[in-house]
Order: sequence, then C-alpha cells, then structure tokens
Amino acid sequence: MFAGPALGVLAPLAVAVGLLAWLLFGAPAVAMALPGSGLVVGLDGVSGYFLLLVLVEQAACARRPGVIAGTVLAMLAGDGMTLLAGVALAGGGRRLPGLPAGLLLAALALLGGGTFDAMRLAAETVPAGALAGLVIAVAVRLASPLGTYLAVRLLLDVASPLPASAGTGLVLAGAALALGCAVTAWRARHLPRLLDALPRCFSGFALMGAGMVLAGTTSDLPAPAAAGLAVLFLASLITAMVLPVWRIVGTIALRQGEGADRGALSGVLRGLPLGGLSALLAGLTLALVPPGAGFAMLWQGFAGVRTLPANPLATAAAALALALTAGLLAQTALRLLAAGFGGVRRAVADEGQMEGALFALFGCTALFAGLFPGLAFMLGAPAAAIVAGTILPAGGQGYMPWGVGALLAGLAAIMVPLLRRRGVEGHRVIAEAAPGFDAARAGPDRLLPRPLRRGLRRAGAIARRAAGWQTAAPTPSAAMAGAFALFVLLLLGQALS
Amino acid sequence: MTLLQAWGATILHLLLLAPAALLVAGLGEVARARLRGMRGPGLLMPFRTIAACVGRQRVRGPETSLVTVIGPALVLTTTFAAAALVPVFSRETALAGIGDALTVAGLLTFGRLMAALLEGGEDGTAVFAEPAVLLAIFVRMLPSASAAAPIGLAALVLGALALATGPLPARRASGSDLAMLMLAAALRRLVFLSLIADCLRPEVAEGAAGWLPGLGIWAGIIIAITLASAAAEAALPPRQPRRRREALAAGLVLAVLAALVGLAEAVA
Repeated sequence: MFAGPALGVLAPLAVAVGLLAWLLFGAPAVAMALPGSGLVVGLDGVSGYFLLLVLVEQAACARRPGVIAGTVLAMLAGDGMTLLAGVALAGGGRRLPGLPAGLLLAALALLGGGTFDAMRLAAETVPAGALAGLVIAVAVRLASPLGTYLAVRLLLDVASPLPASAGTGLVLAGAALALGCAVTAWRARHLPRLLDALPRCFSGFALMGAGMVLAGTTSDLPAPAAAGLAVLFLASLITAMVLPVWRIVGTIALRQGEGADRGALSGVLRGLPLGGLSALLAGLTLALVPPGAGFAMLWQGFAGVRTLPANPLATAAAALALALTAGLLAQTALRLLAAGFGGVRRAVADEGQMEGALFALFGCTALFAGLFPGLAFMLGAPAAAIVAGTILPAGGQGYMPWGVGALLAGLAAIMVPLLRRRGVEGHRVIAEAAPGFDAARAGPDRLLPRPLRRGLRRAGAIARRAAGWQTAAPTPSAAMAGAFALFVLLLLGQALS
Repeated sequence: MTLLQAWGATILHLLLLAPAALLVAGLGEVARARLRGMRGPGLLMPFRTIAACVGRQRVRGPETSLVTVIGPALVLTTTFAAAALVPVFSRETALAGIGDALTVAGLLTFGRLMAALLEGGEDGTAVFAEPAVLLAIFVRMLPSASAAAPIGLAALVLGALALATGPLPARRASGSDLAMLMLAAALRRLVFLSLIADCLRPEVAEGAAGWLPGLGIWAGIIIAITLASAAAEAALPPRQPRRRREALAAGLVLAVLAALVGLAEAVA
C-alpha cells in the first residue's frame, strides 16, 4: 500500500541524483540512434539541466503518465522527429492539445528536419522572424519547463545566431505570459486554478531570461546575457523545487477540505509544523522578497531589462510587466499564506511520512537557492556553455543574498529578547487609542515673541480659511494644492542638486 | 576609507536609526496637529508610547499560529535591515555592497507582507505599491536618465508617501509585539524619506570628514520632506484608503512615463 506512492517519489529522485552527478562532472554529451526506428536520442548540458528539474518536480506532484513520458522523450530527443513525438505526447492544455505539436512541426520544417546537427547547418538560410515566432508561440502555449526547453534548444542552440529582435520578442512574450498568469493566480478563487497558474507564471520568467540571453549573445553584450542566464536558471529552479511545496499543501487541503475553494487551505499549515515552515519559505520565495530565490530572479530580471539592446518602448513594457507581476505575486503569496495560517487548526498529522520528507527537501531548497543562487548557476554551467559560450552568470553586483541573509539573521537574534519578554500584568495598550491632546486647539508656540505669535496665528487662520481647512474633512482642491506644493518643492530640490 | 572607518560608520548608522525614526514620527505628528490647529502630542511621544508598550502584557488569542508569534519580530527585522542599507550620513558603510535600492524595496515588501498577514491577509494597495516603487527605483538605476529623474523622483515620492502614511497594521497586537510593529512603521517611513533624500542630496567629502556635513544635509532634507508631507497629510482626509490608491496609481503612471523617457534617453 505504501510501496506504490514511495516508488513514484523515489524513482524520479534516484534518476535525478544520477543526473545531478553527471551535471557536476561537466555533462559530457552523449547521443545514440534507437535501433530499427531511425530516431536519435541524446543528453547534453541543456537537456540534462531541464530533465533534472522535471524529474524533481515529478517526485513532488505526479503528472499524468502521458505528459511526463512526452516531456522526457522531448528532452532526450536528438532529432526533429523524436522532439515532435515528445511534444505531441505531452500535449498542451485542454483546448487544442495538438496545437503546440502543429506549430513545432512548422518550425522544424523551416529548419529542414533531421538531427539537430543537420538543422544547425541549415539554420543560416532559415527565415529568422518566422522561426522565432513559431517557437515563441509553442513555448507560450506549453508554458511549462518543456516550453522553456524548446525555446532554449531551438532558438539559442540549434538556430543560433538569430537577430537580437528575436530575443526581444521572446522577452516580451515571456513578460506577457508571466503577467497574464500572475493576474490569473491573483484572481483565482479556486485552489487548483491558482496553483496551476503559478508554474506557468515562472515559465514566463524563464522565457524572459532566455530572450535576454538571445539578445545579449547576438549583440555581444555580456550584461543582459549573464542576467538572462540567472533569470532562466532561477525561474526554472523555483518552478521545479519551490512551487511544489504549495502543490503538496494544496493536495492535502483538497483531500481534507470540502470543495476546491481557496478557503480549503484554511488552517492546514497549523497542523504541519515542518510543512508550515517550508510553506512560509516557499511563500516568501513566491512573493519575490529577499533573500529568497524569487527576489534574486527579479533583481537579475531588472538588471537584464535595464541593459537590453531593444526599443525603449519594448524595454519599458518589459520593466512594467516585471514590476506588475511582482506586485501581483506578492498579493497572491499573501493570500495563500493567510489562508494556510489563518482559520482554525486542522489535524493533518496523518498525511504520511513521504510528504514530511518532501517538505524538508523543498523547504531547504527554497532557502538555499535564495541564499546561494550560485548553486543553480553551477548546475546550469554546462547549459550556459552551450547557449551563451563563455559568458558566465553575473555574481550579483549590488545584491549579495547571503549578506542580506546574515544581516537578517543578526537582527533577528537581537529581537529574541523582545519576543521572550513578559510584561507586567495590566491593561492592553492598543494602537487605536486616540490621544486626547489631538482635540485641543493650540496657537503658535509660547516661546516665540508676542508679535510673531500674533502674526503667525493670523496667517494660520487666513490660510485655513482660504484652503477650506475649517472642516474636519478638507476639500479635494485643498488636498491637491498640498500635494502639488510638495512635488514642486521636491522637483526644485532635484533641479538645484 | 579604512575598514575601521567603514565599520565605525556602520555602527553609528545602526545606532542612529531607531531614535531618528521615532523623532521623525514625532515631528510628523506635531507638524500635522499644528497645521490642523491642534496642540499635538510632542516630539518624544513615540518614545514614551513604545516604552509603555514594551512594559505591558502581551495578549494573544488561543488560536495563534507561527506567523502570529514570529510576525512582529520579522516585520521589525526586515524593516530595520532595509533601513540599514539606505545611506544616511555616509555612503561608505560596511553594509553598502550588500544591497541596492531594489533590495531595500524588497525588504520593505517582506515587512509589509508579514504585517498584512498579522492583520488577516489583505492589503488593497499591494497591487499598485510594489510596481510604483520598483519602477521608480528602476528609473533611478538607469545609466543616463537626467530628463527622467524628476519624473521618477515624483513617482517615488507619490508611491513612498502613500505607502509610508498607511494605517498602522497593529490592530490585533499588544505589548512588545505592538512596540515592534510601531517601531517598524516609524522605520519604514524613515526608509522611504531617506531614499528620497538620497536622490536629492549633493555629494559630500569622503571619509570621516564628510560624516557631519552628510548628517546635516540628510537631517535637513528629512525635516523638510516631513514638514511638507505633514502639510499634504493635513490637507487630505486622514488615512483614507481611496486616496492612497489614487496616489499609488498616479505614482505608477508617472513611473512608467519616467521609464519611457529614461530609456529613450539612454538609447539616444
């Protein structure tokens, strides 16, 4: 009874450990033709990195066998036919599941088909705009690690070098996907819809990263390329190893709760000591706040957008999408955490040891990936060498995650005495206690000379009368006048400085 | 600058933060009350309130969660960390390389999220708040954006003031929890004002010789902005959520405009 679920978790994890070791040893490329079929399969740094993440995600939240088999097949593909078969098997959404495969077929037809090596030779004569448009459409439609892998494999590896405008298009498509899914997650009342939108949102971030790498490498600009690699690796890592925490919590809530409403989470995290901490860390990563991996990704995203060789309108749109997505994700994380930690405590202790172990694994990942994003770069180094040559991810000049973590830990240690403090018994001091002195009217200070005091009092009365401040709630015009005066003052200060 | 000077500046900076934040809060209250024709609470009132809260009993409900227990401390920790990263009298502290303005904005968001969690999980301004401040900071970080700087600054001012003048998220707290949240609110306001002051302040001499002039300039700008914002707050109906949302939306529009102007300038 226990063996089935355990095997479903341990088997992908065991393969993932093997892949991890292979990546750490430099990921030497391997390829072979399947006897009798003419199909070619292989493994290199790019496919190894994405396959590792897909397997880890699979251990946490099992997908349908067809989807996972198709995803693995597509990532192991060494030629167009195998890639197409994998994408067709994985499908792409409930409506028109064959659309991604159809679009991919058109893209592969432009590249001439055959093995990836043959496509690389034919790539110079391919109409770049049409190819980029088709691949971007497939990636956005899939909105999953497989979609990101396809964009990276076809645009950054097989068809490289494409013009920088293809990179800009990929950045904008990724930004639109991230923003759209963030809006969906923010508006979703039903838990499955919300939890489904989050990985798609981070896939959007990953596509943005891939676009920055493409634009940077084509224009020979290391800054956007390095930032793009960081965004790509961190967004993929969050999708695979941080968001599954909330999928596990959601599964538990749906199993125990009634209905699929967001309120089904109510009180679940109170019954999960380890899970509560893990979910808090994952929630803070999702909210894109430091020192989580989400913030490291956002920081690199802004760094990449700032240096992107693109039209100002496109760059501003990408920056706006990043900022809006950050705001929406913060609000979504807040709602998830409030639902999980709010309400009445639910007894969920009998949920099994497997979830507890996974909580510990993913919670630690959420913390370490944020504090040491270099770990993600280390795993992605073979992939970076393939898609961006010798450019390495930036170390994060201007943001040191472990430094921020150490600062927070040090300050938190100082707060411990305040947390432990037990005050004297007595009435509660609450924030709403209105001070009595606010009701008392007062003139200018008594220390001022009498003529000046009189003058100030008169001036104040005239100003209050003119601005309509006699009433408790001033008119909007007075409010606008005050605000306008403030801005003029600040703009003058800026001009003078 | 030597290592000793950098750490000296850091320690002074950290020691200065809490008293300065409470003094600025007190000054704002006094100025606002006087502008409304009232006596006002006095400059040192925030110190007394916090001391009183620390000495009182902490009351928690029977159904407290992990967030309720560690929430106030996390709010204060993250806000203090943000305040530690914003330059006050010297830009050459030992913490200078740890985080930039985006990090400060992220840490403030962290604190605000935890505060909103303590209140039940809804914060109507969050959707506009982060984008407005993040975009304004993005404009400030552009390599050459002289024409966009005033618009970006105005966006930052709108966003920052609307965020800093929000209601105190401590309706359910008491005792030392309430003290921590009140101190965090004062620090949050100081951080936003310091971010604005950092945009406005002229360059001063490096090293220990520049500390005193730097402190004077910072204090002058902070006092001026506090008085100006008190005037604006006195004019506005007190703590009305709709006004805050309007200000944040206007800030977001200005930030987008500033980003466009700044990026066009960078390309040109």
